[in-house]
Amino acid sequence: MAERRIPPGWEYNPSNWGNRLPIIGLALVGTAIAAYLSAFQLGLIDTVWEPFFGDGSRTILTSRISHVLPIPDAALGAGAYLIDAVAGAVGGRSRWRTMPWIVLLFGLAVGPLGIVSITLVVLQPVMFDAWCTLCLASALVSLAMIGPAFDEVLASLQHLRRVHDQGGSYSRALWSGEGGAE
Amino acid sequence: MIWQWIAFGIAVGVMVAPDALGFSESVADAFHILGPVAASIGGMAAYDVLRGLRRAHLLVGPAIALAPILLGGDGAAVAVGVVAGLALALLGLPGAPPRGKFGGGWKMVFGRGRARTAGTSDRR
Repeated sequence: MAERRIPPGWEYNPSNWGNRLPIIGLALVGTAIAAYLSAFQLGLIDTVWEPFFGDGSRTILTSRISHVLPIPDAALGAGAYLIDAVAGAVGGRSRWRTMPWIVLLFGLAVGPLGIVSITLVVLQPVMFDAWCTLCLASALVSLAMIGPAFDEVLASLQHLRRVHDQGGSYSRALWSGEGGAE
Repeated sequence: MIWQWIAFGIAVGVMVAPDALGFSESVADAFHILGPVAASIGGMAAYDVLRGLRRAHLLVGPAIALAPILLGGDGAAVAVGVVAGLALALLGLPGAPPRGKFGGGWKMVFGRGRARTAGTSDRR
Protein backbone atom coordinates (compact mmCIF):
# COMPACT_ATOMS: atom_id res chain seq x y z
CA MET A 1 0.00 0.00 0.00
CA ALA A 2 2.97 2.27 0.71
CA GLU A 3 3.97 2.08 -2.98
CA ARG A 4 0.59 3.47 -4.03
CA ARG A 5 1.33 6.58 -2.03
CA ILE A 6 4.37 7.40 -4.16
CA PRO A 7 3.44 8.82 -7.58
CA PRO A 8 4.71 6.81 -10.59
CA GLY A 9 8.24 7.83 -11.48
CA TRP A 10 8.79 9.65 -8.19
CA GLU A 11 11.13 8.82 -5.34
CA TYR A 12 8.99 10.19 -2.54
CA ASN A 13 5.41 10.97 -1.65
CA PRO A 14 4.77 14.73 -1.88
CA SER A 15 1.62 14.39 0.25
CA ASN A 16 3.55 13.02 3.23
CA TRP A 17 2.99 14.95 6.44
CA GLY A 18 6.73 15.55 6.56
CA ASN A 19 6.33 17.67 3.41
CA ARG A 20 3.06 19.33 4.36
CA LEU A 21 3.52 20.20 8.03
CA PRO A 22 6.27 22.80 7.42
CA ILE A 23 4.03 24.53 4.87
CA ILE A 24 1.09 24.50 7.29
CA GLY A 25 3.42 25.91 9.96
CA LEU A 26 4.53 28.70 7.62
CA ALA A 27 0.90 29.46 6.75
CA LEU A 28 0.06 29.79 10.46
CA VAL A 29 3.05 32.12 10.97
CA GLY A 30 1.76 34.16 8.02
CA THR A 31 -1.72 34.20 9.55
CA ALA A 32 -0.34 35.51 12.84
CA ILE A 33 1.70 38.27 11.15
CA ALA A 34 -1.18 39.36 8.93
CA ALA A 35 -3.67 39.26 11.83
CA TYR A 36 -1.35 41.51 13.86
CA LEU A 37 -1.01 43.97 10.96
CA SER A 38 -4.76 43.96 10.35
CA ALA A 39 -5.35 44.70 14.07
CA PHE A 40 -3.35 47.90 13.54
CA GLN A 41 -5.20 48.72 10.34
CA LEU A 42 -8.55 48.21 12.05
CA GLY A 43 -7.52 50.47 14.93
CA LEU A 44 -7.55 47.69 17.53
CA ILE A 45 -3.95 48.56 18.47
CA ASP A 46 -2.32 52.00 18.30
CA THR A 47 1.23 51.11 17.31
CA VAL A 48 2.88 48.57 15.04
CA TRP A 49 6.28 46.92 15.64
CA GLU A 50 8.92 48.35 13.29
CA PRO A 51 12.56 47.80 14.28
CA PHE A 52 14.33 49.00 11.11
CA PHE A 53 12.44 51.49 8.97
CA GLY A 54 11.24 54.20 11.34
CA ASP A 55 7.73 55.21 10.37
CA GLY A 56 7.76 52.88 7.35
CA SER A 57 5.26 50.33 8.61
CA ARG A 58 2.75 53.03 9.57
CA THR A 59 3.16 54.67 6.15
CA ILE A 60 2.56 51.40 4.32
CA LEU A 61 -0.27 50.15 6.50
CA THR A 62 -2.21 53.41 6.32
CA SER A 63 -1.59 54.00 2.60
CA ARG A 64 -4.45 54.31 0.14
CA ILE A 65 -3.48 50.99 -1.48
CA SER A 66 -3.97 49.14 1.81
CA HIS A 67 -7.55 50.44 2.05
CA VAL A 68 -8.58 50.17 -1.57
CA LEU A 69 -10.95 47.32 -0.66
CA PRO A 70 -13.74 47.39 1.94
CA ILE A 71 -11.54 45.43 4.36
CA PRO A 72 -7.85 46.13 5.02
CA ASP A 73 -5.36 44.23 2.86
CA ALA A 74 -3.70 42.61 5.89
CA ALA A 75 -7.06 41.11 6.92
CA LEU A 76 -7.40 39.65 3.43
CA GLY A 77 -3.89 38.27 3.78
CA ALA A 78 -4.74 36.67 7.12
CA GLY A 79 -7.77 35.00 5.52
CA ALA A 80 -5.69 33.78 2.60
CA TYR A 81 -3.00 32.33 4.88
CA LEU A 82 -5.70 30.56 6.88
CA ILE A 83 -7.06 29.03 3.65
CA ASP A 84 -3.49 27.87 2.88
CA ALA A 85 -3.23 26.21 6.29
CA VAL A 86 -6.62 24.49 6.01
CA ALA A 87 -6.06 23.40 2.41
CA GLY A 88 -2.67 22.05 3.43
CA ALA A 89 -4.14 20.04 6.29
CA VAL A 90 -7.18 18.49 4.59
CA GLY A 91 -6.75 14.94 3.25
CA GLY A 92 -4.49 11.99 3.92
CA ARG A 93 -1.10 10.90 2.69
CA SER A 94 -2.44 9.85 -0.72
CA ARG A 95 -4.35 13.01 -1.40
CA TRP A 96 -2.34 13.85 -4.54
CA ARG A 97 -4.29 10.91 -6.05
CA THR A 98 -7.44 10.65 -3.94
CA MET A 99 -8.28 14.37 -3.56
CA PRO A 100 -6.68 16.27 -6.45
CA TRP A 101 -9.20 19.10 -6.02
CA ILE A 102 -7.89 20.04 -2.59
CA VAL A 103 -4.27 19.86 -3.81
CA LEU A 104 -5.06 22.15 -6.74
CA LEU A 105 -6.99 24.50 -4.44
CA PHE A 106 -3.93 24.49 -2.17
CA GLY A 107 -1.70 25.38 -5.12
CA LEU A 108 -4.06 28.15 -6.24
CA ALA A 109 -4.11 29.56 -2.71
CA VAL A 110 -0.34 29.43 -2.26
CA GLY A 111 0.72 30.61 -5.74
CA PRO A 112 -1.42 33.74 -6.20
CA LEU A 113 -0.91 34.73 -2.55
CA GLY A 114 2.82 34.70 -3.18
CA ILE A 115 2.42 36.85 -6.29
CA VAL A 116 0.24 39.37 -4.40
CA SER A 117 2.83 39.54 -1.60
CA ILE A 118 5.65 40.15 -4.08
CA THR A 119 3.60 42.86 -5.78
CA LEU A 120 3.05 44.57 -2.42
CA VAL A 121 6.81 44.41 -1.74
CA VAL A 122 7.39 46.16 -5.08
CA LEU A 123 4.79 48.82 -4.27
CA GLN A 124 6.29 49.70 -0.86
CA PRO A 125 9.41 51.59 -2.00
CA VAL A 126 8.22 52.56 -5.47
CA MET A 127 4.93 54.19 -4.47
CA PHE A 128 5.49 55.15 -0.84
CA ASP A 129 9.28 55.34 -0.47
CA ALA A 130 8.98 53.22 2.66
CA TRP A 131 9.53 49.68 3.89
CA CYS A 132 7.56 47.63 6.39
CA THR A 133 9.47 44.88 8.23
CA LEU A 134 6.51 42.62 8.97
CA CYS A 135 5.14 43.07 5.44
CA LEU A 136 8.52 41.88 4.12
CA ALA A 137 8.42 38.96 6.57
CA SER A 138 4.95 38.08 5.32
CA ALA A 139 6.15 38.17 1.71
CA LEU A 140 9.06 35.90 2.65
CA VAL A 141 6.64 33.45 4.25
CA SER A 142 4.50 33.47 1.09
CA LEU A 143 7.51 32.87 -1.13
CA ALA A 144 8.83 30.09 1.12
CA MET A 145 5.56 28.16 0.74
CA ILE A 146 5.43 28.11 -3.07
CA GLY A 147 8.29 25.71 -3.86
CA PRO A 148 7.43 23.05 -1.27
CA ALA A 149 3.71 23.19 -2.19
CA PHE A 150 4.12 22.71 -5.92
CA ASP A 151 5.57 19.21 -5.88
CA GLU A 152 2.19 17.98 -4.66
CA VAL A 153 0.41 20.08 -7.29
CA LEU A 154 2.62 18.51 -9.98
CA ALA A 155 1.84 15.00 -8.72
CA SER A 156 -1.91 15.69 -8.85
CA LEU A 157 -1.74 17.22 -12.33
CA GLN A 158 0.26 14.20 -13.55
CA HIS A 159 -2.39 11.93 -12.05
CA LEU A 160 -5.17 13.80 -13.88
CA ARG A 161 -3.18 13.61 -17.12
CA ARG A 162 -2.67 9.85 -16.70
CA VAL A 163 -6.38 9.35 -16.03
CA HIS A 164 -7.26 11.35 -19.14
CA ASP A 165 -4.76 9.52 -21.34
CA GLN A 166 -6.13 6.17 -20.19
CA GLY A 167 -9.66 7.18 -21.16
CA GLY A 168 -10.84 8.19 -17.70
CA SER A 169 -12.78 11.28 -16.75
CA TYR A 170 -10.92 14.43 -15.70
CA SER A 171 -13.80 15.66 -13.56
CA ARG A 172 -14.34 12.30 -11.86
CA ALA A 173 -10.65 12.04 -11.09
CA LEU A 174 -10.58 15.63 -9.87
CA TRP A 175 -13.49 15.34 -7.46
CA SER A 176 -13.57 11.70 -6.43
CA GLY A 177 -10.01 10.49 -6.83
CA GLU A 178 -9.28 7.54 -9.05
CA GLY A 179 -11.35 8.43 -12.10
CA GLY A 180 -11.29 4.94 -13.59
CA ALA A 181 -7.62 4.90 -14.61
CA GLU A 182 -4.50 3.14 -13.32
CA MET B 1 19.49 24.35 -5.21
CA ILE B 2 22.25 26.31 -3.49
CA TRP B 3 22.85 28.37 -6.64
CA GLN B 4 19.30 29.65 -6.68
CA TRP B 5 19.57 30.68 -3.03
CA ILE B 6 22.70 32.58 -4.06
CA ALA B 7 20.60 34.20 -6.82
CA PHE B 8 18.04 35.05 -4.14
CA GLY B 9 20.76 36.74 -2.08
CA ILE B 10 22.05 38.71 -5.08
CA ALA B 11 18.51 39.85 -5.87
CA VAL B 12 17.95 41.01 -2.28
CA GLY B 13 21.20 42.96 -2.65
CA VAL B 14 19.80 44.62 -5.78
CA MET B 15 16.64 45.45 -3.82
CA VAL B 16 18.43 47.18 -0.94
CA ALA B 17 21.36 48.74 -2.88
CA PRO B 18 19.51 51.96 -3.84
CA ASP B 19 18.79 52.76 -0.18
CA ALA B 20 22.27 51.73 0.99
CA LEU B 21 24.21 53.52 -1.77
CA GLY B 22 21.89 56.40 -2.66
CA PHE B 23 21.06 55.81 -6.34
CA SER B 24 18.93 58.21 -8.41
CA GLU B 25 15.16 57.80 -8.15
CA SER B 26 14.66 56.21 -11.57
CA VAL B 27 17.41 53.62 -11.00
CA ALA B 28 16.11 53.01 -7.49
CA ASP B 29 12.61 52.34 -8.84
CA ALA B 30 14.00 49.91 -11.43
CA PHE B 31 16.00 48.03 -8.80
CA HIS B 32 13.08 48.06 -6.36
CA ILE B 33 10.91 46.40 -9.03
CA LEU B 34 13.43 43.98 -10.59
CA GLY B 35 15.07 42.97 -7.29
CA PRO B 36 11.96 41.39 -5.73
CA VAL B 37 11.09 39.74 -9.05
CA ALA B 38 14.56 38.14 -9.28
CA ALA B 39 14.42 37.17 -5.59
CA SER B 40 11.09 35.46 -6.17
CA ILE B 41 12.45 33.56 -9.16
CA GLY B 42 15.42 32.38 -7.09
CA GLY B 43 13.27 31.47 -4.09
CA MET B 44 10.97 29.33 -6.24
CA ALA B 45 13.59 27.83 -8.57
CA ALA B 46 15.59 26.69 -5.53
CA TYR B 47 13.16 23.77 -5.30
CA ASP B 48 13.78 20.98 -7.78
CA VAL B 49 10.14 20.81 -8.84
CA LEU B 50 10.21 24.47 -10.02
CA ARG B 51 13.84 24.62 -11.15
CA GLY B 52 12.77 25.39 -14.73
CA LEU B 53 11.81 28.88 -13.51
CA ARG B 54 15.53 29.70 -13.21
CA ARG B 55 15.46 30.47 -16.94
CA ALA B 56 13.55 33.66 -16.11
CA HIS B 57 16.86 34.99 -14.74
CA LEU B 58 17.96 35.13 -18.38
CA LEU B 59 15.42 37.96 -18.86
CA VAL B 60 15.59 39.70 -15.49
CA GLY B 61 19.40 39.55 -15.18
CA PRO B 62 20.11 41.56 -18.37
CA ALA B 63 17.30 43.96 -17.44
CA ILE B 64 19.08 44.65 -14.12
CA ALA B 65 22.39 45.08 -15.95
CA LEU B 66 20.96 47.50 -18.51
CA ALA B 67 18.60 49.52 -16.29
CA PRO B 68 21.21 51.83 -14.68
CA ILE B 69 22.94 52.35 -18.03
CA LEU B 70 19.73 53.29 -19.83
CA LEU B 71 18.41 55.37 -16.93
CA GLY B 72 21.61 57.40 -16.54
CA GLY B 73 22.73 55.95 -13.21
CA ASP B 74 26.06 56.88 -11.65
CA GLY B 75 29.15 54.64 -11.66
CA ALA B 76 28.17 52.74 -8.53
CA ALA B 77 24.68 52.01 -9.88
CA VAL B 78 26.10 50.78 -13.20
CA ALA B 79 28.66 48.60 -11.40
CA VAL B 80 26.05 47.04 -9.12
CA GLY B 81 23.63 46.53 -11.99
CA VAL B 82 26.13 44.96 -14.39
CA VAL B 83 27.74 42.65 -11.81
CA ALA B 84 24.46 41.53 -10.24
CA GLY B 85 22.63 41.28 -13.57
CA LEU B 86 25.30 39.19 -15.26
CA ALA B 87 25.60 36.95 -12.19
CA LEU B 88 21.84 36.38 -12.23
CA ALA B 89 21.85 35.67 -15.97
CA LEU B 90 24.61 33.07 -15.44
CA LEU B 91 22.53 31.47 -12.69
CA GLY B 92 19.67 31.15 -15.17
CA LEU B 93 21.67 28.89 -17.44
CA PRO B 94 20.96 25.15 -17.42
CA GLY B 95 22.77 23.43 -14.59
CA ALA B 96 23.12 19.94 -13.25
CA PRO B 97 20.13 17.60 -13.63
CA PRO B 98 17.63 17.59 -10.75
CA ARG B 99 18.49 15.38 -7.82
CA GLY B 100 15.02 13.91 -7.48
CA LYS B 101 12.70 12.23 -9.97
CA PHE B 102 9.31 13.76 -10.64
CA GLY B 103 7.66 11.31 -13.01
CA GLY B 104 8.40 13.30 -16.15
CA GLY B 105 7.96 16.71 -14.53
CA TRP B 106 5.80 19.47 -15.99
CA LYS B 107 6.44 18.20 -19.54
CA MET B 108 4.38 15.14 -18.70
CA VAL B 109 1.43 17.37 -17.74
CA PHE B 110 1.58 19.91 -20.54
CA GLY B 111 3.49 18.01 -23.22
CA ARG B 112 1.94 16.39 -26.26
CA GLY B 113 1.39 12.69 -26.57
CA ARG B 114 0.30 10.14 -24.05
CA ALA B 115 1.51 10.32 -20.49
CA ARG B 116 4.16 7.84 -19.45
CA THR B 117 3.68 6.22 -16.11
CA ALA B 118 7.05 5.53 -14.56
CA GLY B 119 10.77 5.77 -14.97
CA THR B 120 10.56 8.91 -17.07
CA SER B 121 13.36 11.42 -17.21
CA ASP B 122 13.07 14.83 -15.61
CA ARG B 123 16.03 16.31 -17.44
CA ARG B 124 15.22 19.62 -19.02
